[in-house]
Formats: sequence, structure tokens, C-alpha cells
Amino acid sequence: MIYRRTFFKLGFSAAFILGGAYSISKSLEFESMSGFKFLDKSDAATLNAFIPVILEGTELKKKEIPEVIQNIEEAISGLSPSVQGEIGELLLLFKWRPLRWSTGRNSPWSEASFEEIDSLLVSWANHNLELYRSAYSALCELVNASYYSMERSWPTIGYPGPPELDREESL
Amino acid sequence: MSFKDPFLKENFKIWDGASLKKGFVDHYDVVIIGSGAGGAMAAKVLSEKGQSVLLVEEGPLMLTHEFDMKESTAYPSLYQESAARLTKDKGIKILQGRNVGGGTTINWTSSFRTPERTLNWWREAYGVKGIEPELMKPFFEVVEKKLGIKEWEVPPNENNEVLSRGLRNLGLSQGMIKRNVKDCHNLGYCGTGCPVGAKQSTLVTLIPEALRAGATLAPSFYCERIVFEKEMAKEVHLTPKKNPQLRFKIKAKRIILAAGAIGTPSVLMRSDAVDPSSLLGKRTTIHPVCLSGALMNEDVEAWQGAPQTIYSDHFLDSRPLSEKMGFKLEVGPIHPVILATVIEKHGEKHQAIMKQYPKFQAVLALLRDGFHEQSVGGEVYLKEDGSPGLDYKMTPYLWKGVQDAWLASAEIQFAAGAKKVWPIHREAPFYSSWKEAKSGILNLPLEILKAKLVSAHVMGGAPMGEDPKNSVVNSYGQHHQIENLYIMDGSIFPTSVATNPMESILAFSLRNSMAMKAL
Repeated sequence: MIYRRTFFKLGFSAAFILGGAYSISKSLEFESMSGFKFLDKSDAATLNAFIPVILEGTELKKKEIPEVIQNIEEAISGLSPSVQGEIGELLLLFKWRPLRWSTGRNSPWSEASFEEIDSLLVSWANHNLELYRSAYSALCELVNASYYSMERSWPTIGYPGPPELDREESL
Repeated sequence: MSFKDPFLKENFKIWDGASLKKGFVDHYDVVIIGSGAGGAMAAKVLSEKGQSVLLVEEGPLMLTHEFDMKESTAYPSLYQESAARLTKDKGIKILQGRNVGGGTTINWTSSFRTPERTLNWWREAYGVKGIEPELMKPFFEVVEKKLGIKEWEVPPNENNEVLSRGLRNLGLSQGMIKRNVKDCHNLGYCGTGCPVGAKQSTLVTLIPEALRAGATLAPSFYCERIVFEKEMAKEVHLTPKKNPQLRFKIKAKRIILAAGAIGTPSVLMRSDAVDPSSLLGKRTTIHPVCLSGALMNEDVEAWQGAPQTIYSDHFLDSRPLSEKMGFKLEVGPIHPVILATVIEKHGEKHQAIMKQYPKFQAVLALLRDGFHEQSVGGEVYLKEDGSPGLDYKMTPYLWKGVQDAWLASAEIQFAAGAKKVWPIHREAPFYSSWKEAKSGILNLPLEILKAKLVSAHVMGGAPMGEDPKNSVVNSYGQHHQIENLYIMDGSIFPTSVATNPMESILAFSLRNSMAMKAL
């Protein structure tokens, strides 16, 4: 229900900024993805398309992407309802047609090419509007934090991980 | 390892919110909301005076042996909003503790007395009484003895050494940071909870002492509101995080708020507390921090070793309080998720920096906010669900401080032998020389969500003073209008402390709880 409420909140501010009305398609009604409380199928599909772009240059393998999405789901579940609502707004941005139209797209972001997603991210990073710059921060942070909290990523950046401790005695 | 966890050895009174089946009414002499530096100190002092104390904490009770040094464990369990709390416009990230021990469980152990010029400013500009440096001294001494605060005798790690070397080569003043540790293993994982019980956080010191003296601990309990009756605080309504449908009504003779400078004002705002000065939740200062990264020729491995051991007050001491924005220079530990989220880039550009991780060094500049008419602090507000947020706006005066700090940091890093320096800003390149950095930095746009800004110290929002028109509590933390309500955390500071605030909060809480009259 978070989505419904924040949808209107985002709708107001974003519509105000872009100076236009918009609608959200019925075909994008939220279907819950199995096992996920927060991310729906379309969120997961969007992340699936964005993760390889954000993590380009890492040693992430395609089959590891669901694990990164799983980590993101877990990270979001641990947040307060109000922060979850804000992330809901971020994810809504991708379901939002004017954004697609403004970038000349007709199909969902999950079907966008690597180059299209990359140029969207580049345009957000230093956008004149804080809304897009904060969306860039939030999205990159979710993905990068989820990847670099995976122990498998550590050797690739020269991090040995926490030292071994002998705790027997202290217990 | 010599640490024995008192929570595992002794029988303490601890509420378990998950197993309670229904709410109840209970009575205490004192209810304290928040178990960080301020609340834990009050709990110890008052329970040792023989008063019955309930110490309430929003975050969980996590014990030393559960601290696994992983960011993925620590941030969601020990930090407010999983260490991703942001100001209203999302421009500044705020790190705050949310666990039994509060900030003291996860801070980097840097211990400084309240600077004399800050105390004097509070006396002169805000009329706070009884805080002459010589009157405060005994409280600092007790706190230092209690928490083992002393000079750190081990050589600084390379991350700190870079700062030290740069300062030395430029002839700028520096000092060694005192730390609250005993038998420290020099691991570098203070921020994820000390895994060996060496850090003298309130979790291993003041809280066990309070519980030993008979206090009761209520971890994972959220304080919904305080109920007032005829200008007195009558009861506190608590709800267990794991059983949010239950209500516990705790009647108390005295209520102490120590929920941090965002939490404390928010409890009072949710409770519709009287606020004749209109200062509740206002004048919130955060020591905005900007960062400067450097790539060194040798490995820095900034994840290991005591995280903060060197500081410089050169840019505080050389700038009068009410004039140019001053800043304190320190470094911070760099763990993988911290670095990955500080670098606001994506793809190859992000990974190119991550791959230099072992050689990455970073200087932090803490801006001294709250002392100038163009630095009046932020405002705490309530979100729709009643949870708090902070609205904090950067002003041209603050931005000038950020720019000065990037310049100072870059010069220091180059003087220490940095190969490249990167002011942490989305549009900044890696500069190869001080000359290049100097002109480049002056052209960086001073805008939020371009410059990376963080804060680890939230202060103010219930400032102390003697004039009820210009303060929320008196010089001893007692609410001006609500006689049996006290505030004992960083909320009472009229400006920022202008240094890491833990020791200030401990000393003020010690002083103010000792000054409370017998019940």
C-alpha cells in the first residue's frame, strides 16, 4: 500500500517539475514477485537491466544478478516504512511514462539496451534537478552496497575481509 | 582476550518485547529514553543513587560476540535507517547509532573534551550557567577515568599517518586523538561494533553498571509519546518493535530524554509538548563533513588499525568562531561498502576507483556549524508515520567552508606524497598536482547531490540556557516548562561542539544527573 500513497506524492512533485500531466498504465499493476515483500516483478526486471550497467567493470557474473537483487530486497525490508516509501517512489520513476517519453522510449526500461541505460544514468548523475541526482545516488548506492557486501567481491578489490578472531575465551 | 561480557555472566533485568503477550502498566522513579552516551550515564548515576530506573532503547541489544565486523550485519542492526538516513533534500547522509549503547557502540572512539572556546561561547551568547572550563574539568576527568580515555600509544595506521605527514610537511598543527579503549587489538572495526569488548562503549561499561545497580533495560522498544498532565510528564507510552500492536504505559516521577538530537525532539513533537520558545527541534547542528580522497603510491589499507588517531585543529584555531567557517581535520576508516557508496559513480568509472581500494586514503573535514548568522542549523520534522527527519540546508557560508576544506585537504594530501587527489564531488576529476587541484576545486559547483556530504554528529534541537525565550531546557538539562522532564543528550548543545561530541555528552549527562535533586 506504500506504493499507492507515495505514487501520488511523487506524482505531484514530478508532475509539477515537468509541467505536465501523466498517467500510469494499468498493465503495470504491481504483481508480487515470489518471495519478495517489497520489490515486484517489474522492479526486479528493471534492476535486472540496470545492475549490469552499474556494476560494469566488476567481476559480477550474469547468474549472480538475482543474488544482488535479493540483497537489495533484504536491505529495503530492513528500512522504516517512510524510507521504504521513498525507495518505492524511486522505483516508480521507472514505471513512469513521461520519463520514458522524455528519453524517446516506448518500451519498459527492463528492455532497454546497455547504452540506453548508461546514458540515462549519466544524464541523471549531474542533472539540473535534485530529484534525478538523488535518484541516481539512491539507485547506485543500493546496487553498489549490495554487491560490495558480498564476500565474493572482496578479493577483486584487494580487501582481505575481517581478521579471524578466537572468541572461545571470551564466551 | 580478557573481555568477559557481563551480559553473559550476570542476571540483568531485561524486557523481551518479542515474548510479551500483552501490554501492561508499570511504575518507575525514572524512565530514560535512549541508551547512548547521555542515557546510559544518567541510568548509572541515578540507579546507583537508589532510584528505580527503566532504560529504554529503540534499537536491539547486540552483544560483543555477535559483532562480526561485517558491514552487512552492522548497518541494518546497529545504525538508524541502516546507516542510510538522509536529510530532507537528500543532500547529506547522517550516521547515527540505534542499538543498546547508541553511538558509543559504533563510533570510532575519538574522545575530546568540549573545547573551552565552545563552553565560553555557550556562556556568553546563550547565558548557560555553571560551565566555566574549570567547573567542567572534574566531570571530564571522571568520564576519562571511567571510560579509559587516554593517549593512544600505538603508531597511527597509514591512513592517519598520511594526514600527519602532510600536516608536518606544511608546518600545520596536529594532535593525537585520545581513545576510550582498554586492551584494544588495533583491528580497525570500531564502526561495526568492537568484537573484542575493548572499546569502552556504554554497552560494556555504564549500562552493565546501571543494571547491576538494579536498573531495567528495555531494548527494541519505541517511545511513541509522553503523556502530560498539568505541565508535568505523567507517563511514557512504549511499543515493542517486535510486537507493535502492544502498548506499555510506564508511569514515572521523572522522564529523561536521551534519544539523540533527532529522536529527542521528535518524541516531544509527537507528544504535543509545550514549546513557548518555538525552538524545539530547531538549531540542529550536524558538523557537516566533506571528504577528500587520495591515491597513494604505497598501500594504505585504510580498513585496518585504530580508525582515528590524528587530528588537526589548525583551521579551527586560526579562524575566530563567528567569522570564517572553521573545520577540524581527521580521517575515517574505509570499509568496502563505505567506499562503494561514497563514490557516486557507476560502471567502469566506479570500479576504476574501487580497484585502487588498498591505496585509497581519505581526509574528512568536520565543519563547525551553529556559530554564525549564516549557519543557524537545521530543523527536525515529523514524517507522515510519525518518524523523524531532519531538514538541513547548506548556505553559501557553509559551502565556502566546504571549498576551503577541500583545498586544505588536497594540499595536505599532496604534501604527504599523494599521487592523485579527488575532492569527493561528482564532477571532480582526480588531480595530479596541488597546482591543478587548487584551480580545479575553485570551479567545482557547490551543490548538494554533487558534493558528497555526511554527518556523524547530530546536536541541538533542545538548547540549554537560562532564558526560556531562547532555550528549551535550563543549564542543567531540566525542561523550562515541564518540571519533571530532563534532556540528557547532544540535543542540549546550543551550537555544534566543534569536535567529536561523545565525551561532551557523557560529561554533561554526568554533571546534570548528579545535580538532580533526590526524589
